[in-house]
Amino acid sequence: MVKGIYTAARGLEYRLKNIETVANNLANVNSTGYKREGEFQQLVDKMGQTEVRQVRDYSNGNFVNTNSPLDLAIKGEGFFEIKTENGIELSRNGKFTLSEDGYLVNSSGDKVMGERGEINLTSYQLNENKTLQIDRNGEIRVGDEVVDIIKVSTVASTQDLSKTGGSNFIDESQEYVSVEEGKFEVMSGYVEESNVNPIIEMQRMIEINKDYEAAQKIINTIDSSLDRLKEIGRV
Amino acid sequence: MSTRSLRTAASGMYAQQINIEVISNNIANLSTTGFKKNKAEFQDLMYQDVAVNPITTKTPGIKEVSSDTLQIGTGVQPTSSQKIFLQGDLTSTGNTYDLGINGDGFFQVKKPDGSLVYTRDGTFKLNADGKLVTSNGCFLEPEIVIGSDAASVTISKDGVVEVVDSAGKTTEVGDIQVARFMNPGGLTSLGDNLYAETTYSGTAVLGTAGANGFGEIQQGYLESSNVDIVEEMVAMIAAQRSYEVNSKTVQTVENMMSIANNLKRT
Repeated sequence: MVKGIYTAARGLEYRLKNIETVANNLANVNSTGYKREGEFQQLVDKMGQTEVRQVRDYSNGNFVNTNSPLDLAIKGEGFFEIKTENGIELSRNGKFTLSEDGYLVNSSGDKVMGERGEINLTSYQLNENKTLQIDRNGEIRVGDEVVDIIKVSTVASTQDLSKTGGSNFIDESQEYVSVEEGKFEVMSGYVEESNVNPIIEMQRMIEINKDYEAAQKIINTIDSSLDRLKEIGRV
Repeated sequence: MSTRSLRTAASGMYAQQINIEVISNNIANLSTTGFKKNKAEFQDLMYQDVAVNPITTKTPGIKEVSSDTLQIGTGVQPTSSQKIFLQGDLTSTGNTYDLGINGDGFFQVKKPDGSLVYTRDGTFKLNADGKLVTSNGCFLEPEIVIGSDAASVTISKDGVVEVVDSAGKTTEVGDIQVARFMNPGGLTSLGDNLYAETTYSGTAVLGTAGANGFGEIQQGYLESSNVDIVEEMVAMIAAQRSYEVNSKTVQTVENMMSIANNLKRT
């Protein structure tokens, strides 16, 4: 009897956490490279150990043309590698710019990694015959010279990545592997929008709200049943 | 009860407010010559590791923090408002000194204080000395001197300025060059349709108009603003609805809080 109250109370807590993820999805409806969080699930294995699985939707967002050559979007699989103070992070946010010392950086000033390391463009003075171009395979070219190739990597299990804000992901336990050529295209002059669909989020919000109400009703019912219990024992 | 989701929704509403401000500035500049629209950029905020289920049945009444954690985001922040350098429509004006750039690049002009700035607004006029200046008094750099006895002036697509004087003699007085940047998105807007070079944009590369990816110069044309009213209206609707949807989060969470309040009947 009393156990039922706790089961229902857990239901309330569970919905509360879920509404927080919905709130975050909705707040990030315009965030570049944002990936929506699905409902989380708590699984119990044979040993009675619980494990939380958070399903994240990695589908591509819309690609918006910005006409700025350093805005990059990855069509297909993979992430950019960004060197941050936490180590190398993965990101789908390709809004890049140049730093004061000529490195290719993201909007937080963290360097973007290429196959040969950090990408520095200062030594490549552009002139009339030398223009900057980024090819679909990630090759950065100044005129005919290849400066570097943008690294596009992924991990074996993308669901285990954790978010660090700024549309970045990190996972120290997994190795980053390069995505095979042909599975992705680097699109210069485009950015990837958030993949949040407000309709789905609204539907989830209604669902969670109703489930929350139902769990409350269960607690109330058990509570009134316990109330009746007193009367049985009356002499 | 945690108010995290309320704050998350509030950050979402704030972001949409910024979005509307950027959109309204675009719409206000619908008829500004050479105007380039802005786009507000957003990023998600930090994530917190939250224990999934603090309530356990093992020890009723005692909050036991479960080792299972879940990442929950804390909202959104506006990061930048970026210029989108898409080509605007070139409209014919028939004026000799109205120049439009068809393609990539900027006119390099010198402000009265001597600093070099860049513009796509090609509404040039002749000053008292016969030099080409913009409507806000900046000289074209390198300077083009037309002279006082010019009968007609032709400016070719590659920027060569030729003057035919009253005697019918044609002289070349100079050529207008076009400046390009590695990262035009990194330029700062100074207002008055002027942009200044920054370390983020890279240095200006001057070149002949119409060659190697530099835009062509069109005499007698002006570049309209690249704001598309329909697109901005759609963006405005989307921003308004996103604002609304975030306010729904506030309502829903408020409703859940009131449900929690009613858990205990008396």
